[in-house]
Amino acid sequence: MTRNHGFLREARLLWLAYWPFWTLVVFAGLAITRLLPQGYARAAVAVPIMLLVPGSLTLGAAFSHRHRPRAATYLCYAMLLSAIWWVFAALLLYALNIEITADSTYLALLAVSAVLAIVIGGRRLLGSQGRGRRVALKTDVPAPDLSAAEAGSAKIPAAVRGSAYNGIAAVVAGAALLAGGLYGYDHLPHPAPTGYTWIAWTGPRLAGAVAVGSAGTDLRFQIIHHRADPATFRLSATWLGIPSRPLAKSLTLRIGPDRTFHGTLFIPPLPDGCTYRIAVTLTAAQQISPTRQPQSWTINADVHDPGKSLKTCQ
Amino acid sequence: MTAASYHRQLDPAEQSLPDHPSHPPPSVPDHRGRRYLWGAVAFAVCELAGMSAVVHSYIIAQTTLSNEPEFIWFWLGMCLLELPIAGLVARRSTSHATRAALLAFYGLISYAPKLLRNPTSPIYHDEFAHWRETYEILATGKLFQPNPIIPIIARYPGLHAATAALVNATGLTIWQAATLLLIFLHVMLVLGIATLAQSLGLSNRTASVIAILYCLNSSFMYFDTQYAYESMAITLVVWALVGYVRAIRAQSGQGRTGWGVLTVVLGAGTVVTHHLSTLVLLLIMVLVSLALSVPRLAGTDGWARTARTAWGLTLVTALTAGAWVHFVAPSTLSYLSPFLGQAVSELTKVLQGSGAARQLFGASLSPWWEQDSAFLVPVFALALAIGGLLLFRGLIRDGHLRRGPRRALLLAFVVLGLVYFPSTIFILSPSGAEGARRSWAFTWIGLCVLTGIAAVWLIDWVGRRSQQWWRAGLRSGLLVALALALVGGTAAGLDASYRFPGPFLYGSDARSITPELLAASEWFSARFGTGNNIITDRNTALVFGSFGLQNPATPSAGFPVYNLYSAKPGAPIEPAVLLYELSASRYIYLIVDERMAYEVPETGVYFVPDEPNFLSKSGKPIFFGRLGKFNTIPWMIKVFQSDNYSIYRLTAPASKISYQSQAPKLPDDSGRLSVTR
Repeated sequence: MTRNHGFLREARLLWLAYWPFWTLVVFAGLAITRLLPQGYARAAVAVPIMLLVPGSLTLGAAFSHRHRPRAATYLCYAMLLSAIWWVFAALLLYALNIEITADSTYLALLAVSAVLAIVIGGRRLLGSQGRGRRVALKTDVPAPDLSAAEAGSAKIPAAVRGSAYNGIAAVVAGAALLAGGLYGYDHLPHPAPTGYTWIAWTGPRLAGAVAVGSAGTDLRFQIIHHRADPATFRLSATWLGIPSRPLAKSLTLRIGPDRTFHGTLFIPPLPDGCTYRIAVTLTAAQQISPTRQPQSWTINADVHDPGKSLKTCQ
Repeated sequence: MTAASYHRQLDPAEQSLPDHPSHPPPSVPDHRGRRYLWGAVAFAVCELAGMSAVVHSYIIAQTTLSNEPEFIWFWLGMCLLELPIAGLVARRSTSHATRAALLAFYGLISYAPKLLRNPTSPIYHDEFAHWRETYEILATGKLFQPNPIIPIIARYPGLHAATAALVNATGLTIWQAATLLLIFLHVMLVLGIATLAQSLGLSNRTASVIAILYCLNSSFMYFDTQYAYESMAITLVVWALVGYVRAIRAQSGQGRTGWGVLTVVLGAGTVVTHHLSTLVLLLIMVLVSLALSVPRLAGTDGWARTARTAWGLTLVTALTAGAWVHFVAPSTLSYLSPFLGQAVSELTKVLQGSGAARQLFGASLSPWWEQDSAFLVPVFALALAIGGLLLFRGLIRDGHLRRGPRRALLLAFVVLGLVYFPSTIFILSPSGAEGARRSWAFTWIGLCVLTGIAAVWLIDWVGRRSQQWWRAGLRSGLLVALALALVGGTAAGLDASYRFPGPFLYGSDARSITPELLAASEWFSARFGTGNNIITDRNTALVFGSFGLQNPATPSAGFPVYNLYSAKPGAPIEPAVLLYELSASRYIYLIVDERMAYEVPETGVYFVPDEPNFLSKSGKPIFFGRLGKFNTIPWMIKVFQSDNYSIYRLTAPASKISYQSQAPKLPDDSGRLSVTR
């Protein structure tokens, strides 16, 4: 036996003897992954630890070494149980009225893992009382209910060993194929997203009628033209009513693609204290949207002068 | 066919040809090596070509509402991706380890359609609600945050808490973490079905075939891959059942307690994740427990012990579920009960001839051959189920499936599978269709145990034909049947508008999100902040209620906010108390998608499924000519308008607001307009 083989054997024995402790150390090391940049790089390191440690410890706590699930079943259970521990940890934090954050989740899972590792230790301690040749030689009596397929499958340790390599290869190949498909889909030409135009009030929020003082007031708005082509618009402001009347001289605007215009409407001093409705309308000079008729966008507001008489109001 | 050969199908380890080939003769390895190499190359080419075809189908789907080439390319791709795996899994010479790997690979690549459908953000209705719930956990650090889109999900935080933990640990976005979690759960589901079948005493090969057959169910490819609590719960249910079956079958002191612990933990995981899955898990456990309590099925030495184990675990799970519903989610019963009641009542009316049955594929965008193949699936399933039942009968008659827990377990799962057939009738009821489809993800667990055994028998029967051309022809026939079941099974699930990308489709759940809507929502949040109570239609509410973090109203007969839209201009909005309620509940903003005036939603729903009929006798929306009134209503101010969306601020109380019907006596153009870039 070479020195390397000896070292590996020692390491394996050390692992087998203290695996709950080592996995706990690995989980504690999750804190170090915070040093990695957020995103896939950190996920590549953190996710396997998060997915394997709490679940593996749960399996260790629930089963004796001999009866623990093996191979793919072990891995699947370990990962699913870990995911469930994430949920239980959140519930625990909620019950303790602790905010669920990255730190608190980490600490809760670490605490859970530590408890599970202690349970495994306790289990071993109890189990070791019966340690000895007789105990070691004791074999499980096959269940009378086992099918021959199950009885047979227990005799194929090679399959168990091989499953790890095959499984890893399958997961890597599958993930690569998914990633490749996604990359291809993302980099192939896609139809341009449908554009849009909008007009909206900016400035102070409108909650009821806007007060207009003796010097008049300004109302601010915004026009966004998010389309591939430039377009020409007419911008107008009117007093709404029967009939409507122009409030300000209209403007003609040519707005380029993906441009934002900031507008101001000056409201002159009002003759009385009544509330009037004004509207700002943007009208396209030519059709720019295949679906929309007519091509106009309007916002409105109520204005009044609180300092003047309401006597003549309806 | 003799009973002995039936038994061989159930238990191939006893066959003369083992799953693992014995040592080959010396001259074979070179030949086998070359064949293996060519086989591997052909497999890789199939997978690459399959993925390319699926990607191509999605690319061409983007520009048309629905066209046949997108379906042809898609199914060509899926067949290339999945059929070679199915073939390899079903081969007798494939090793156990390779089968497990192939199933994991199958799980991964079968997620491709959903991954490509929405790689960067939610698009299905429920996904928005779950996204919002996860966001709330991350933002507030608390579970059980009220959800304005689907209120019940707030009481089932399993999926959201798991996603939040992943986000916290990795710094991924919610959607990236959700996708990672869903891919993992999807693969686990495939492996779980195979493990469950093996736990029932079936061979590795039969169990793997069962897993492949399960993947043909209508929920597998799109529904149970969406970011929703059922996608996580179905996997937990399957693995809880694995633990349950193993706990029942384990001998005392041989891990029974361990398996029992796993059952309880996974059952509890299901309980905190999804209500319906919990209910189904309990029903399956009760079914199994009942089967184990029947001496004629399970009556061997120690059968009382296994029955006790089964009932004990069922009781613990039931108590967990009961406690959760009682203390945490009391609204669950009122949420679930109307669905079943309505479905039964509608179906009764259909059977009595007093109600109209739901038209299958009524507004579907699928081509005829996809729809037709959906009808073939129950036929194939029935044929295989009959075959499976005959095989079981033979096994029992010939004494190969003796009384005991294994027989009881198998028969319990067979009964579960047979529930699929009566459930298909609910597809004719508008309320029952959704429930029926959802139940198939569970009943197919049992159905595939039954049909899988028959399928393996069929494959072996074909393999025993002496003439090579006959064998090849029959195998091709089986592959065609599998392909048809794949197409039909998926088509029986979600409509093409969910499955394929495409141009905007008004009122569709998965194709109605536009850059304009997203921009409007973003503008709204930036201008008015988050957490506003808003009134809007179903599809607009999805974006405003999720990314926009607003609280859309849930219309109902008692709170008919849709009356705001449907009221005729000048007519009062009924009921009179509605405006008072809106004001009292601080509903300050109304968002109108003006397309509702001239478009009928693809889902048939403008606001909520049980809304009044909003279509006139001519089939046109009644909103036509009724939305312009919002511009003149005194207590509404229009603060935003884009191509299709208008946002109004409601200024309450409505009775005190009015503006002059005439313009002020000021000279024209006394105001001034100016703009800057």
